Amino acid sequence: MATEEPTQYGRQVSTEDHILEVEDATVRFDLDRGQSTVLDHASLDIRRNEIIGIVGESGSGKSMFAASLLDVVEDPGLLTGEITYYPENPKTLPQGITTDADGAVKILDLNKEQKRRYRWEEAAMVFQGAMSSFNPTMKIGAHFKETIRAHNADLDERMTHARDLFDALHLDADRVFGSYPHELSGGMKQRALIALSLVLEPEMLVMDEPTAALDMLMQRSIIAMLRELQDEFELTILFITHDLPLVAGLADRLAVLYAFEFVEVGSAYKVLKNASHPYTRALLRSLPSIDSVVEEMQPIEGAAPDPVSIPSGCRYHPRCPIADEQCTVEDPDLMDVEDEQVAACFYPEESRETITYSLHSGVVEEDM
Amino acid sequence: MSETESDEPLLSMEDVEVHFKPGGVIEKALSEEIVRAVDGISLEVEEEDIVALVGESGCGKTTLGKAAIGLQRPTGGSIKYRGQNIWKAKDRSSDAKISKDEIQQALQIIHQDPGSALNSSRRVRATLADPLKRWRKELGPDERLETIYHFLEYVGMTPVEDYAERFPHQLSGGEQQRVVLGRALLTNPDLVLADEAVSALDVSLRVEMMDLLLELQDMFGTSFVFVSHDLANARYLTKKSDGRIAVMYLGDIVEIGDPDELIENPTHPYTKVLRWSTPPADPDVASETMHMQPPVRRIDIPDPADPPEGCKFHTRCEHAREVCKQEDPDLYDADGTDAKCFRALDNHEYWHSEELTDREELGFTSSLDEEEPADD
Repeated sequence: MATEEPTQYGRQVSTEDHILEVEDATVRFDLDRGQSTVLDHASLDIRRNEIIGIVGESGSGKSMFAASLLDVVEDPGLLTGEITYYPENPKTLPQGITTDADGAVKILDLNKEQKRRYRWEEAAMVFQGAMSSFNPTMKIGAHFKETIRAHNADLDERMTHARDLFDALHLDADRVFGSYPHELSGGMKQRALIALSLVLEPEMLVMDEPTAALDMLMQRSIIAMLRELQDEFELTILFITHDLPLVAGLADRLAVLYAFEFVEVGSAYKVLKNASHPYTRALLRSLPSIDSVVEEMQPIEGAAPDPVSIPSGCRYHPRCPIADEQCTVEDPDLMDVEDEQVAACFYPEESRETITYSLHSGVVEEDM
Repeated sequence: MSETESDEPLLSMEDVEVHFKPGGVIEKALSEEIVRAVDGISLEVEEEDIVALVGESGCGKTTLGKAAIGLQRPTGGSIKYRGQNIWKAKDRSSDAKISKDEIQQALQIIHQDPGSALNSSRRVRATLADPLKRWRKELGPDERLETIYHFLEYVGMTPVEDYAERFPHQLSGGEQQRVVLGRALLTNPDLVLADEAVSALDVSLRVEMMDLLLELQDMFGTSFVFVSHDLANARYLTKKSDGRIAVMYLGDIVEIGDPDELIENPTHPYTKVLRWSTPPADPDVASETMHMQPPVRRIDIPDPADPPEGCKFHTRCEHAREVCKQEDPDLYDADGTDAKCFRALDNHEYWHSEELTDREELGFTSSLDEEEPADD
């Protein structure tokens, strides 16, 4: 199948210019029933100014991956591996953080204070459920001031920036600053939280299911706003979700997690249109999206593995219809399938032939 | 099972109203405010029927569902199970042909979050035995266990002896949901309210769960009222079962009909909003619609305690005109669906009324002018 990338996906993102390189990120927990690996040698390069969707089911390790990027894995989880940050302009780094000869910052080597400043000033994170992220006794404006002061930033300059962000998120700054959290709707709170996370002008925004608790219309509207936000403020956005269709129109690239490792990474267009890993294909076939062909939808056989007993070889092999002897003993690395598409599978061709799915019911979007 | 009057629909709701006074005791006493969670809805559910109620939070879909199965007393209108007014039966009115117990057994519910719907200290066996003990007293202990094993096997939880002895925390989300489903279905109900029963599951498990619902519908002959905020799930379930989707907005059903017509050719502007809000998986379609302005004049839903006059959707509707501010439309026969919108009528004064143009500035990439449809 010939796939041609449409222009709307071809935002100018250099494939060589990485903002973050994650190498072999691994998170382990010691449990009574054994050691549990909830992120297993995950490696991914994040490109500057891209929007990348990290997609996985619950328990696939996607939130652990997000936490690893900011080194906020909670005890007793132990994060190992290497996370390297390449700031665009090393001169603007928070005091105390320095780059090495390659212009790189090793995140896991930073001390506590340096990490604290990296987390807000270079990479910010937004979680789901904005309802609980604000202090109910403080007005929204006070949250902004508190954050700005905690990082010794210029108050006036930052508050002006906050107003720009509010504009981009279609919020009335005066009204929202003067409101207590309970006076705002869920969608407004979530947008205010996004603005708060960006007030110190971080280069990277990590979002973990940021729209999950919202109504569909607000969800989709925020997604549309994120594109503009990315454009206007030159952000790199990592959008973590279990809801693949949600990021279909947003992400430049997609990275699919299965059982704590990446199984497929590539241009969003290619991964959606012609996925190559059997899991990605099965996932796409199982999604009840608004335009899929109902008769062709099928659930994925079996269940995802328990983190204490991960199958040998390729960890998808017990559920995979095309697995053979090799798959049960050897663990495939991410291998090139096509330009801009890698998959951890020995048989990407067979996968595409055997596991069929179609995204579109052939009915054209109603013309509004 | 009562097959008293076969010509009566399984469930018939007529002009049902559920009005709440919000807040606690004091607030209730002082406040004049009334939330019309369900505001005069008529709906019939047949045998082996599936109706999906879809809408934003606060639209009244769960309240309507609860009213349908007798968990919420309506403040107006009537709800009849096989011709018997269920609240008359519940109040033990002397002329009730069908008893309160029978009705209670026939109408069941599956809750949203299977984790919290199960008692964490009781084994699967004990949870599933409850409905059998209460409603099928003729079964002895061995037969009960056999029925439970049979159900577990049917829903794929094997080895059944192992699963029967497990506690909820030893089950996956999908398995928990099956137990909840079992608890409802083992009473042999006629109608089950599934309240967001698949939304809490991972996307890849949703189809499986909905297929299971459909299979069980086949096996037990159950009807479902399926409450969901997700049009994609509602579409899947109703398309596969020949069911109907009912779109709700601020206490009204604004459009109802078969899923193909309703989704591909919606008449009510609000149905179009839901359609826009539901992301397609196809990247071509997704990126196309991503640049479109949402088809509303205002994003936020009005306060349900103070809904707009006239058509309740007129404050957000793209196609609203002066007349929509004054008059509340009925459900009219539109092409393939019933829609509560004047646009379904060819010769309504709506078409000569002045357009409402006040629009919240959303600043999306495409401008409204490009999309303004040619009015027919």
